[in-house]
Amino acid sequence: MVASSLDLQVEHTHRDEEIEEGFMHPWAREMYGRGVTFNGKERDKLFLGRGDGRFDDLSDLSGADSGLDGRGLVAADFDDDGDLDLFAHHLQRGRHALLRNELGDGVSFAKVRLANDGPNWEGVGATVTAYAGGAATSQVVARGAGFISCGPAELVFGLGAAKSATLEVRWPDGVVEAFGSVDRGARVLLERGAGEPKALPARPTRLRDPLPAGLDLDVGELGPDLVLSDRDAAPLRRSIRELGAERGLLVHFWASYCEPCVRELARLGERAGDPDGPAVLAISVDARGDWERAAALLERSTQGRVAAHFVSLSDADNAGGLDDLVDLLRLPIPTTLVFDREGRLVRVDRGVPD
Amino acid sequence: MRQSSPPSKPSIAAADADASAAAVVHAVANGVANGGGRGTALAAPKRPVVLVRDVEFLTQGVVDRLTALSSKMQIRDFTGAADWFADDFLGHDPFSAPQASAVALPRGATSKALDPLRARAVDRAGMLDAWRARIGPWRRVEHVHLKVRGAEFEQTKPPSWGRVDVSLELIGETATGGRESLRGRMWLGVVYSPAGWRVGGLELRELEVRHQREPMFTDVSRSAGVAHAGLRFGRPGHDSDGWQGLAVADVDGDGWLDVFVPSSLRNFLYINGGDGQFTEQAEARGVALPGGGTGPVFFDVDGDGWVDLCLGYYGRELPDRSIEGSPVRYFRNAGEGRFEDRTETMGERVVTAASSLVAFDSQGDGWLDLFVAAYGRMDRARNDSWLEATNGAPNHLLVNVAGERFVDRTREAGLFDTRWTYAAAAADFDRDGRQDLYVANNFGSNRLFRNVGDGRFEDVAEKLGVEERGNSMGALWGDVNSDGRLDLYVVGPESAAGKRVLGRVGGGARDAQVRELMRMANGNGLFLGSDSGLEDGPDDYPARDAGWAFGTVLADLDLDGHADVFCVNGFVTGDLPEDT
Repeated sequence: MVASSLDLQVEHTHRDEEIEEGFMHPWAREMYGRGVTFNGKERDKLFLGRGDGRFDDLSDLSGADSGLDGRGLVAADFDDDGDLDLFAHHLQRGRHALLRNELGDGVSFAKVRLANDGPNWEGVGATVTAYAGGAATSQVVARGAGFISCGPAELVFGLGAAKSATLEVRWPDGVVEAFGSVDRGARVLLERGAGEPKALPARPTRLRDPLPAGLDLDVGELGPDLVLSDRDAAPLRRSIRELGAERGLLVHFWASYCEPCVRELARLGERAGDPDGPAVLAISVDARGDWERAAALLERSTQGRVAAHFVSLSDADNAGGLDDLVDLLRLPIPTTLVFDREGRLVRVDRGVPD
Repeated sequence: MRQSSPPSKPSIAAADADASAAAVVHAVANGVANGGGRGTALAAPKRPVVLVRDVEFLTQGVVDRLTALSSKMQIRDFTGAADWFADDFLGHDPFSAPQASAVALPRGATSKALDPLRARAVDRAGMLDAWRARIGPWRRVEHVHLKVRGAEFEQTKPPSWGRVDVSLELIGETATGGRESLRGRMWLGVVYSPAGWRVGGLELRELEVRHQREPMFTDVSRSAGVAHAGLRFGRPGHDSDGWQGLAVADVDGDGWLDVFVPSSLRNFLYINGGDGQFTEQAEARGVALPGGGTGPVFFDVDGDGWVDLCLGYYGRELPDRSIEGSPVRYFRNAGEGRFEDRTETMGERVVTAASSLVAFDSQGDGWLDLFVAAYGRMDRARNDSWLEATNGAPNHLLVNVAGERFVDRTREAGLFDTRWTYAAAAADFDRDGRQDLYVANNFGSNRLFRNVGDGRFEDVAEKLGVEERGNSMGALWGDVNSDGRLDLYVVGPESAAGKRVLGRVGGGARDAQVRELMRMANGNGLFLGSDSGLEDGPDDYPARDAGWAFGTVLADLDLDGHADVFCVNGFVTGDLPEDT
C-alpha cells in the first residue's frame, strides 16, 4: 500500500466491494469487508522480565511491535545462535513474520532437548529446571500452548552472567533426574537415565540480513515500469529499464518535510548533471497538498536538473508498478535504489550514493 | 467487548450548525491562552451529557476523526492535517516541553519525562510546524495513534463540544537509524462542525520520550525466505475466523527447526536450510492441502521417531447448529519430512469448530493424546451469556491407542465441556507425575483439570481460584519469578473501550457486576505457583496490559535469566478510520 492510497482511504467513508460468502459470520463479513477497524491498530508487546514478577514494557523500542493483528506466535532458535527468534502469523498483509533476535550475546544460554523413553521421546510434558546464578527457572516441553500455536520441543535457558547451569528434569511421569552441570553456550541432549548431558554440535549461523524495510524488490530483480504523477497530478509513465539504458539509474525517494532529504538535494542535482553518471529519477512521497512546494524546492535545490515526480493517487496506477517496488509506509527516506543498464536492482543506499 | 454488532447510529441533532463554534473553541481552550502555556486545565463541560448511549456515540465520532488524524500524521501530511484543527486553535506544542527527569531502561534504552507545565502555547500553524519539526526528519514513521481514553461533552446544542482524554503513541526511526518513541497523555478540546470534529485546544498532561540506539529484533521475513503477503482480512479467500496459527519442529531430522503455517487457501511448510534461509516445500512434502486449518501441532503419533502433524478445522454451521467441514486431520511423517494424509485411519472423525490443539499424555501410558479445544460458531446464534456461555462446540480428548488409532474419551475423562474454548495448556503443575490441563475459554470461566489418574480429571479451577472469568484467548505454563515452580499465564484482552464504558456505568447496586466486568477488560492474568497450588499474581504487573493479546510466549528472550513475555495482538485493523 502506498502513502497516496492510504491518504485516499482516510477520506473514504465506505467501500463497495462485494464480499463473497465465506466462513465468516455475516455481521463480521459486513464490517471487515467494509474495512472497519475493531479493536485494531494495536502493537505487539514485548515485556522484559526482571525476575521478580515485574516487567519493563519495551514494545515501542523493540522493532518487533508489528500492528498487523497477530494471531499465532512461536519463539524458537532458528539459527542456533542461542537466542529465541520469533515467528508470528498475522491476520493482515505481510502475514508470515520472522523476527531475528538481536538481544543474545551468543554465549549466555543453555539449550536443551530431551530423549525420553518410549513413543513420547521428545519428553512432551516434562519440566526442566535450570539452576544458575542463585535462581531456579523451570520450563515445560509443550506441544501446543499459548494460542493456536505449537513451539518446538527444545528449550532455551538464559543464564545471565552465570558461567554454568545445573539441569534437572522432571519426566512426564514425575520421575526426577539430575543431569549435573553444563557450561554457558552448551547445546545438550538429556537422555533419560543417562544422568549426564550429552553435547550436541554447535552450528551457529545467522538468519539472513534483511533488505531495507519496505523494499519489495530483491537485489538482482528487474525494476517495474512506473506510473507517477507530475505536480498537477497528470500521469508520467517511466520505465526504469529505459531511463537507465545508457548509464544506469538512481531512483531516489525523498520528501520536502524531511530535513535530511532536503540537505541531499544539491548533491542529487550534481549527480544528475554528471554526463558520465547514472540518470536520476526523484520520487517525492509528499502528500498532495505539498506537491507545489516540493516541486519548487527540488527545482531550486538541483538547479532545474531533476524533474519532480510524485506518487500517483490512483491505486490502479500503483498496482504492478510502484507497489511492486516499495511499500512507502515502511520505506525509510531518503533511500536511493541503484539500477544497472539492464534495469536490475544492484544496490540500495541510505542517501545519495557517491 | 468482543461481540458487539455494528452500532446503530442515533441521529445527532446537534450536528447541523456551528455558528458559535469559535466562541466554544475559546471557551474550551481558555487556560492555555493565559500564562504563556503554564496551563490551567482545559475547561470541562459544566452540564455534561450523561446518557451512556449518547456520550458513547459522540465519543465514537471523535475516535473516528482522531484515527484519521493519526493516519495523516503517519504519512506526514502536515498541510492536510490542518483540517483537523479549528482555525483559532490554541494549545500546547507537546514537543516543546523541557526535560524533567530521565531514567535508564534495560538494554541501553533511555526514557525522558518532559515537564508538561512548561510547554509553550501555539496557534494552528505553530502546531503543524511543531509536528513537522519533530517527525519530519525521521527516516520512517512507524506508528501514530491518538487513542481516546475518555470523553465528556457539553449538553449545549448546537454546537456540541467536549473535553477528551487522549493518549498519544508515536514511533519511528530517527535520522541516525535509532528508534524513538513518544508516549503522552493530553486533554483535547473538541468542537463539532459539519466537516467533523475539530481540535480547538490541547493541554499536555504528560509526555515521555524513549530512545533505543540498537535494534532488539530485526524483521528478516523476506531475506530468510518466509515472507507471504496475504490479502487484507475480510476479502474472499481470507475470510475465515478460524485463526490458523503455526507449528515448529525439525520435521526432516537435520536438527534445524522448520515451520508449518496453515492458511485459508493452502498451507505453507518452510524447511530450514541451516544457512539462515528457508524454502517453502508444503506441496512437495504433502501438507499443502486442505487449507483452512487452525491450531497445528507436531508430535510423534505412532512412535516411529518422526514428528507427525495434526491440524484442526473451524467448520461451518448448518441450520440445525451442527457443524460441517474437514475433520481434525492427521498427516503422518513417513520419514525425513515426507507427509501423508492418514486422517481416515485415525479411528475418530472429529468435525467441530476447532481452535487450538494440544498433545499430551493424558493416560500416563507414554502415548501422546490429542486435546481438541473447540470454540463455537456464531452463524445462527451467539454465545448465550457474556459471563458463562455454554453453547459453544464441545471439546474432545482423543486418546492415542498404541499409535494405531484414536478413541474419543472426552466424557470418561471428565473433560466434556461446551464452553467457548480457544486454547489449552498441559503440564504437571502439582508435581504428582500426572499431566494436568488448563483450558482457556471465551465468554466464561476457565477450567483447571487436575489429572487424578486412570485417565480421569477433576476440575479444580474454583478450588484454586484460577477461573479468570472473562474472555481468555490462551494460556501458558512457565516460570515468571524464577522460583522453580510453574506459574500460569492467562492471555486475555485488555479493552480501552471496555474500560471507558465501564467507567461510566459504575456505582451503586451495580458495583460488583461492574468490578467483575472490569476484570474482564483488564487483560492478561498471572497466577504464581506456590506450595498450596496457585496464587493470584500482583495486580499491577505491566505485562497485564498487552492489548487484545492472542499468541503469547513466556521465554527468556534477552538471556538474562528472567522470563520475558511477548504477545501479538490487535483484533481487526481495517483501512477505514474507525475504531470500535
